[in-house]
Amino acid sequence: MRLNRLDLTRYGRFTDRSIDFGTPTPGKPDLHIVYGPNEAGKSTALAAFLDLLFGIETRSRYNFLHPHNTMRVGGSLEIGGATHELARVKRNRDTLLDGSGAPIAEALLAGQLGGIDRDSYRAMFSLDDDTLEQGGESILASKGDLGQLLFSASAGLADLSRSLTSLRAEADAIYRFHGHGTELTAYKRRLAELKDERDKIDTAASRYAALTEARDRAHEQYEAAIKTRTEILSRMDAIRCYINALPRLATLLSLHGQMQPLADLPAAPAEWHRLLPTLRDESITLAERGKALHQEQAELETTLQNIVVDEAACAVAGQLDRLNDLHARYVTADKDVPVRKLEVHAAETRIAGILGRIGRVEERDPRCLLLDAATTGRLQDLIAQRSGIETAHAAAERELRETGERLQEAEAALSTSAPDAADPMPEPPRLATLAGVVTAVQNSDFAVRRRNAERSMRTQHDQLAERLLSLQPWQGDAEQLASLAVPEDAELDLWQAELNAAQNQHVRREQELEKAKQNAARLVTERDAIVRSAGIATNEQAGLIRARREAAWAEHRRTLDLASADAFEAAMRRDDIVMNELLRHEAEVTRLQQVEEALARDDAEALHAQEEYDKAKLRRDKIEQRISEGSRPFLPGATPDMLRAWLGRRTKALEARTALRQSERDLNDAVADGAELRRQLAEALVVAGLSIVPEATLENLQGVARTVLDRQAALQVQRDAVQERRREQASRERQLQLAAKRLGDWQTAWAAACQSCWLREGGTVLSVGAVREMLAALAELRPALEQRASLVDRIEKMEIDQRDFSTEAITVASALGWADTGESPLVLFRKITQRIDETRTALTLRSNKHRDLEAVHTRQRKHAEAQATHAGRSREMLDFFGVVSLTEVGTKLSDLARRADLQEQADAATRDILDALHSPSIEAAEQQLASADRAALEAELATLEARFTDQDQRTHALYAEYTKACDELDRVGGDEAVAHIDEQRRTVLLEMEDRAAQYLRLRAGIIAAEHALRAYRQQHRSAMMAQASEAFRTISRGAYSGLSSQPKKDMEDVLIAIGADGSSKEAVELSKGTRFQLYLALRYAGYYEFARLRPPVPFIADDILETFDDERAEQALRLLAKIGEVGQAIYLTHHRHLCEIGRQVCPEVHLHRL
Amino acid sequence: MPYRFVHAADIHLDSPLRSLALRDTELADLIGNATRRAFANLVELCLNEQVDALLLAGDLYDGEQTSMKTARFLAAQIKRLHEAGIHVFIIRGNHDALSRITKELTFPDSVKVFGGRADIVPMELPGLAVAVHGLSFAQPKAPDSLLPRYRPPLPGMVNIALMHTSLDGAPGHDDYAPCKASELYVAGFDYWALGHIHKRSVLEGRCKVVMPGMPQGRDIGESGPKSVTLVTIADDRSITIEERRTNVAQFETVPVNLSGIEDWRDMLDQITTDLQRMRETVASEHLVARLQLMGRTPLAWRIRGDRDLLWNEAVNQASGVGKTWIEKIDIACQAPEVSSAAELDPVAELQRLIAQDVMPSAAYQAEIAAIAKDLRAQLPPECRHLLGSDEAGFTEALNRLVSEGAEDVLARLYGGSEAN
Repeated sequence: MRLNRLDLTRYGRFTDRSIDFGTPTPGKPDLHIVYGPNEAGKSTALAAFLDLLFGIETRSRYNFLHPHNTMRVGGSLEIGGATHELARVKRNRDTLLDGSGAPIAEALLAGQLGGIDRDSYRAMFSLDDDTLEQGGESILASKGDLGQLLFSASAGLADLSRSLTSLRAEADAIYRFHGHGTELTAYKRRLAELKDERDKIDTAASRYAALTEARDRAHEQYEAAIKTRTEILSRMDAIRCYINALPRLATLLSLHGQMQPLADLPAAPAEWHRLLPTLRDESITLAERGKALHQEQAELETTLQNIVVDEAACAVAGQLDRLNDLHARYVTADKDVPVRKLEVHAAETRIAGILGRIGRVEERDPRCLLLDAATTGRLQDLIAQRSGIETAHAAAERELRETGERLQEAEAALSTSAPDAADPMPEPPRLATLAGVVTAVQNSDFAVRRRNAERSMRTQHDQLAERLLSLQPWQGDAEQLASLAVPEDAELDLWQAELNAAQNQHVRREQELEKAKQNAARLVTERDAIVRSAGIATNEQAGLIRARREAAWAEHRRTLDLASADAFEAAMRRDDIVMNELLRHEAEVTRLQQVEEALARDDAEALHAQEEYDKAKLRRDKIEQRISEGSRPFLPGATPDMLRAWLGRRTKALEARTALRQSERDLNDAVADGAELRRQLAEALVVAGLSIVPEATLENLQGVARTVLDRQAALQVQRDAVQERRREQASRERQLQLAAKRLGDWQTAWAAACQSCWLREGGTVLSVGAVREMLAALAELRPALEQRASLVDRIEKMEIDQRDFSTEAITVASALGWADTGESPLVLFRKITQRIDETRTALTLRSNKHRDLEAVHTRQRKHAEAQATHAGRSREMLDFFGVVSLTEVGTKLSDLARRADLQEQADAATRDILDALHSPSIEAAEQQLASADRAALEAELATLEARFTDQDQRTHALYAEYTKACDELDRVGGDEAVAHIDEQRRTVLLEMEDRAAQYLRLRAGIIAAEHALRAYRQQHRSAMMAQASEAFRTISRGAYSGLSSQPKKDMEDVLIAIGADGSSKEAVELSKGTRFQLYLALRYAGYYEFARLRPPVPFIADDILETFDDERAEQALRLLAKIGEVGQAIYLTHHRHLCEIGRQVCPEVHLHRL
Repeated sequence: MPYRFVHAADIHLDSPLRSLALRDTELADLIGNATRRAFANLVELCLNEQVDALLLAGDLYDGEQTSMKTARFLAAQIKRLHEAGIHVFIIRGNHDALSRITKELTFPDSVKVFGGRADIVPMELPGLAVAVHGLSFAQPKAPDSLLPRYRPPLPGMVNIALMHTSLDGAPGHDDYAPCKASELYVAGFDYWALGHIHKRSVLEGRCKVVMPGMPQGRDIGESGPKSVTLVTIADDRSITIEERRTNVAQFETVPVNLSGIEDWRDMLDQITTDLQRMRETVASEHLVARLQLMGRTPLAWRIRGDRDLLWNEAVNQASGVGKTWIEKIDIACQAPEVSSAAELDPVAELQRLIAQDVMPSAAYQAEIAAIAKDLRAQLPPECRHLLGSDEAGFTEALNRLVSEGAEDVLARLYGGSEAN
């Protein structure tokens, strides 16, 4: 790879700056010195070059002018003999671009770099002060492993040693002999932890069996212990019972002693104890109540004796009610009678007035003037009918008169318009026929039809003429047109299709022909071109020349003289030249032959195309001919389209003709209809007796007929009116007769009605008005009479009541023993009432007292009964105990209660004893107790209690043991905890295996690599060492004769610098400047090694000669020049004198200024 | 009335899963104790199908299984079956021949554990008579066929026989009641309920010889779907066999061909694609995959150099696939053939030196063997088989590790730096 040009397009402080390294001169060193003062951008250019090769660094610091996304470097690189324009931009991918700006694969560069990465490139072939020194450090750090060093140098793997170290560390981290903190020890620890964990929770089968056995044993022992414990407990209980029963027996005996004196008492009913106090209280209450009752009885009897009753008053007391009633009426009448008498008087006055109105003042008994209801009703009916009958009669008379007048008017009108001889009227039947014909004429539409037809005819006539005109050049009338022979549509379609097909074919053939012609022209052109360019003969020419040669040969053979020989030679030479030409231009000739063949083919094709074209044309012409013939009579020279259009127009013209004919027919029909109607009308008029003018039109005839018919109709109307009036007059006369009869009937009835009562007494028939007034007065008279009679009756009845009261009062007074002193009945009545009231009060008092006394008697009886009951009960108790007072009975009952109490206590004691000793009877118990020794029992109990405590504790202990074993067995459970730990353990073991395998792989690999590196060194040391040694000698200007390696401990070699005097120094012992020279010498050797194996890459150095004096710098530049012989060497410097030195060392050096 | 039973074997109850995938504690929680869960599934199946019996043809536990918790769990599960009226027939296999934990359990009457002498349990059902034969391993090894020791089939009955046998798997090396399937086939029994081989196989015909496989695989060696067998014997003595999946997690090796893949990202996509494809074929809830990277790819160096990164990214991809877990990544892929021009490449040369000069050298071998032996002494006994069980195995294992190690280290030295 060579850098031809570096473009700093947008990079650091550069914009569109290029450094052109030109093209190398073969055989001359490709050395370039780029001079630039400080800050000129040398480091930038170096970085740019690396960025071009490896991509712009992610956090490039050369973005201060052009931001990252616009940064661009480029250049022209020579790779594998080809020049590539490349550019590098900064983005995520596709950063390498070709000359057209399209992304290009990195492989282009990577292939050249032999796998060297950016760091390696910097360390080996792109040096500055830092990398030169760092590389040196790396050499020192390799501890003199020259194989590695050289390998690193040639393989571009600067940090091989570091990699191996880190791999060793990795292996050591997994396992070290007796090492702590390695992975394997960690895993072992983890295994131990898991084992502990598992032991903690797991129960092995053996342990499980042991647990089961322990559980069963504990259970058995526990059961035995429980049994013993129970036995002790029951014996203790028995002793305690004895000890408890002994004092109870003593109590029992004492109770029996206390009960002895009370043994004879009879057992009294239990309720007596409660009853006794009640009885005592009752006896006192009963005595007090008896005394009180007796006293009450005496007081009531005294009161009764003191009450006096008036017997006479008692006797009449029953009449007092009637007297009271009479008294009330008397008082009422006293107030009412004068008022009623005034009302009688008023009634009489009204009656006298009424009589006056009807003129019968003197009438003694006005009652006889009253008319009965039938008479009054009849009179009133007649009065009501009278006005209606009279009105009807008057109306009938008036209407008769009016009807007569109207009849006269109608008759007068008829007489004026009636026909006479001068103006005769035809017979109505004949007129009927006429009327029918007139109606038919009116209903007929012949006139309208005629007008329409006439209008249509005009229009259609014009249309026909117009359409005929459109058929030009053909000329003729419609009939001729109709009779013209024209082709059918189908025929026309056929022509059209054939013509189209022919036409298409014709066109296609034409195109083919044209194409063939063009092709031929092209081929000819091409042939001519070939011939022209190659200057060769065509085959024809060649053939011609060959023929000439043959002819010359034949001639020569024939003559065998010099001239023929010359001629033959000339012909042969000519032929040779042509043949040579043909051979030399074999390709062209071949092409020419092809072209000619193609031309020949094309000619044939063209010929064929021409034939086809002619055929197609002929076919088309024939068809056109046929069409032309078919249309000659009417449209000569027509195309099918024209023909089709003309035929369309013809059809339209024929349609117009048909329409015109139809209109003509319509017109004729309408005219005929009109003539027929006129004939009928004329005939009807004649029949009706009317004379007509022969030339009269239908309209004239219609007018005559209508006049006659109208007149006839008017006359008939007038006749009908006269008839009607006459019928009306007759009707009115009948109605008048009827009204007169009804008036007469009424007058007869009226006279009869008046006759039947006193109204006719005067002998005259009273007028309707008089009767109406009288009837009104009589209507008032009847109530007045009735009122008067009622009042008189009431006055009489009241006066009778007053009399009855007086009589009754006197009667009662005498019964009471009072003489009639003429006192007013009212006074008398007051006295009577007072006396009777007093008597009634006394009677009521006596009755009350009697009732009270009766109640006292009843209570006395009940008291006596209570006393008897009480005495009975007391007696029962007294007799029972044989005592005399209830107090003594009380004493006895107390004794009894005490005895019962003692018995209860004795029973309790007995029960206790029996319960304690489980004895069947108290006697047996007493016997048992009698033999018991309390002291011995208590001693035994004490012993037992101690034993019980021990046994109880043992039981608990055994139970705990048993439950513990059960719990432990239960705890085993079926969970997966142990399985889980096992699985973890298994995984740890697998990890251990994995890591152990990895350890072995690493160790085996490392050791193998180390061995291999030693072998590599063996194989490569001499060549590289020679290069490095030579370079070092050169660069140190002979101060050192070279380099060597010496074995040191651990079988490793150490790099030794051999001084000119034969002394040797290890690299680390060299001065800084010399060391730098050594480093450069090693790079030089490495570059050679690299270039030996791969295409060389540019070697770039940035002022690495700072520490070199001029002479050494000169030698260093000489080395660079040697590099330039192998590949490309570029040296960047800010020392102007180095340019000079460079030029001296290598005159071909290219100097550039930045 | 048909007779229905579930036939299972090699439960290896509470035997732990052996997979590095369980380093992921989340997964450990999800599929831990899978053998237990599978057994619970099996019991659930019996209950749901309302079968008449459960046949367990040996290796209910591992021999080293001593925790009574396992036994208690088993007892609880068997109690469920007992309460549902389901019989359980058990024979002991090589692993549980001497197991103590069963001895400590008292089973209900519905459980029949066959002893070291052949026994028959005849049963009369309406319209069908069934006899269950069984014979347990008395010792962990049974060098001879057990078939002659079985009692002859009972005439007129459907004869079902439980046997724990390695069949004719590997003659000479087989101490587990070897016998030929063909012998079983003609022995006159109707159904051979076998156990021992962890992979399912069924021989049908007049007689059924069924090796149901195990209900739950425990490591990559026990990959594939795992199941039990549901058997129905109809009244006409016809036998129907149905396979029922029981595994909670399924181990599968997933080969990933990286030929032609040059980009890391593409490689991850390829891994995802292959995992997805496998995931679609696996019915079990969880897929535990061992990735096997193969083929020639320029990524080979980087894959070796960046094992940790690869592991993390592969785990992420698997998690994206869903219920899929990576247990290990085997790297068998290689870098593309180096071109002749690059033969002078120092790395290639180093590689060649290692392969041709270093590895075959006796000194190197001895050095590595010493390191390996030192390491082995430090490992717990369970891990010692890492380096083979005998001298030949040791050499083989070591050679494998050495060649992998050389590749790895070179990758780290070279490929690793290239990848930066």
